Amino acid sequence: MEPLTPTLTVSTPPFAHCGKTVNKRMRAILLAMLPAAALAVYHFGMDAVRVMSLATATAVIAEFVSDMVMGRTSQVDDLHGFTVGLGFAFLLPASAPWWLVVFGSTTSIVLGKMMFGGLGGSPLCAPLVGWAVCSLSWANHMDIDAAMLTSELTYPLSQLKHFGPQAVAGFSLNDLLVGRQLGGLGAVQTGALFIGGIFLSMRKHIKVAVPVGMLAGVLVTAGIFHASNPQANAPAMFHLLTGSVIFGAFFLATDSSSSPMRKIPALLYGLLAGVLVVIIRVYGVYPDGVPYAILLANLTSPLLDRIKPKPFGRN
Amino acid sequence: MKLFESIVRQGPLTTLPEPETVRIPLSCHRPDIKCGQKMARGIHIGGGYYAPISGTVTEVHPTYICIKAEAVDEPSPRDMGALSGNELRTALNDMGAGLPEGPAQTLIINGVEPEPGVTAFAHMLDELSRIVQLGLSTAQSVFSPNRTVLAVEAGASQSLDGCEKAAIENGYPNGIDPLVAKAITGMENPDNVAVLSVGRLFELGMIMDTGLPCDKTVVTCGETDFVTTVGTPVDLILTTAHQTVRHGDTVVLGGLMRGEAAHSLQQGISKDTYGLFVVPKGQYPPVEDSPCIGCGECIPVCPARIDPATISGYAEFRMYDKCREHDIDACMECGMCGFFCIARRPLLQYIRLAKQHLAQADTCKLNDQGEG
Repeated sequence: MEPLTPTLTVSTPPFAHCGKTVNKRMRAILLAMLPAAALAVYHFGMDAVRVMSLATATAVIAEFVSDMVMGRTSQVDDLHGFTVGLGFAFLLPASAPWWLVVFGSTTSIVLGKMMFGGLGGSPLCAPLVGWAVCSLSWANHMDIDAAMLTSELTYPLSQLKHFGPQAVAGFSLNDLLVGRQLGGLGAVQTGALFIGGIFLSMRKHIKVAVPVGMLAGVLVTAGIFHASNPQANAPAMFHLLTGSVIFGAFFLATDSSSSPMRKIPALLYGLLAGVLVVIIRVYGVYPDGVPYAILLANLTSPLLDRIKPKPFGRN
Repeated sequence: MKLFESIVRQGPLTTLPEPETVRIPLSCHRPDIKCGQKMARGIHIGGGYYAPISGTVTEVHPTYICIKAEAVDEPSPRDMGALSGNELRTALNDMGAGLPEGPAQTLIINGVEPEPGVTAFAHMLDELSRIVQLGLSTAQSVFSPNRTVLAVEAGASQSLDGCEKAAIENGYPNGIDPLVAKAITGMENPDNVAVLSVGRLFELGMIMDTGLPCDKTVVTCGETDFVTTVGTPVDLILTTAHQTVRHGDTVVLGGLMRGEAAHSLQQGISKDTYGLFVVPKGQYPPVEDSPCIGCGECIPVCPARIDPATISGYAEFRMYDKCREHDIDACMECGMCGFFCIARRPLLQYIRLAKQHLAQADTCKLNDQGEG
């Protein structure tokens, strides 16, 4: 029975709220990743299921254990840890061994998130931290080409790197869009990810300036390279639809704590990441430049955040 | 809640009978008043608060004093009609009006409703126009402006004699004073401009009309606007407006964006209370002590173009000087940042806390310099 005099809840203004919460945002992001995950399973079968379940489970457990070690109330139910785990899985080849998945996912959470105090503290996009550590430590196991042993698909970026643009002229844009290519198991489902990214942008769950800047950066830079020397460089659309460009633009670069907050800095940050992707692909040793491009761009976001308008009433 | 919709007025203005018992809210003042003391209407209690009814003081609490109605010899009201200019201003301030300083070239009457869901100002302009008009001529006499502008929401029909009319774009927070001043003058924090709300004109009008401090306010509650006596218990207004309060609900005095939560249903309203809302338990996700996730949702909605995320982070770790470096002074306390914060941080509270600490630090500094 309710007491005769109700006890009031005393809280702080504002007493109304738009209704969006971290949990709801993470659910929206997971929903946006779902089509890509489904396509990954379609293309890579149980290997994809294995990698994704292992990565997400490890991430959630790692976050919970970190919280226990730090003596904090765990906020693992906000689903961010789960999202990081899935994001990390999306970057792995389907052939990744179990220990690599477990180690990388734990590293993503511990080094990429919890070390900096949890959600919101990290200066780097968490899944990329795990990816970077693994790809430097076990380059062979992280090599997408290794996955060719278990799949009939090929890795277009590696072919571009080793055999030049003529070798990849056969790839139809349609094939690339539906994910008929090797790469990170979820990251190459470019069509599905694009739809997910548009969904997130329309629901205002991500800063649209980041993917706009990044895609523009990739298209313009790759376009310039291609125009200057079509024999040595692939067309811009090929760069856009291979590797993890779409995934990076909509899901990794938009990570809230490691990207700039205002619109113009976010646009510049996206542009920088996009330009770096193509530069790394053309001049670097890595076939897919996206993870390092975003990590480098992450480092500039505190600097870019200093671009801000004058406060109200200041001249 | 729809923030960006123009408000439609509902129901006629209803006058609530004078309550048997009033509780006058005091903010941290220790009034020089004892229990059992007889109190006449209009007597200064302390800190700019006045007795709204005559009666006996039955309770003295740090946050309120309680008066029970009883016939008491009342002092004769002051004749305000003969005063003008600075004398008038002093007299009004003595009665709790707290007018801004100096003459002003432009006098802006802010008729935009202060908060979403409040319709008190439109009702004052429509149905208490005699008092508001009296308040306007008083304000004009105090400020002697060249130009008087009434700001109303676009599409509103209200007007005042002797005022230009300016339409303000619909939607919160466009109606808060600095933004209205900017919309009308084109300048941010312009000099020589005074902004008074319609509620303030009503207060001035009441003082001029009665010769006593204003003891009435118009409160929106539910579907109705009520003319109520200051100090009326929240309970009484809610019951009259058929609002039910359940265990765990939040009762908000003022508005949903900037108001204050009532701690008890017996709490009285103040003369600045223009709205009374019941927020059912569980309607909105609860405020949490969670870290900023850097999503940037608060930044584009901030009318002061500052960075509430960074400022609240510094306030959280008591680095108040850093808050000033990030221009906390420009904040208008509209509450938009907290409304859009997906981490449910108490952003407005952090900002108010930091402002209070900074103000205290400044006072100490001034005192030190005075001694040195």
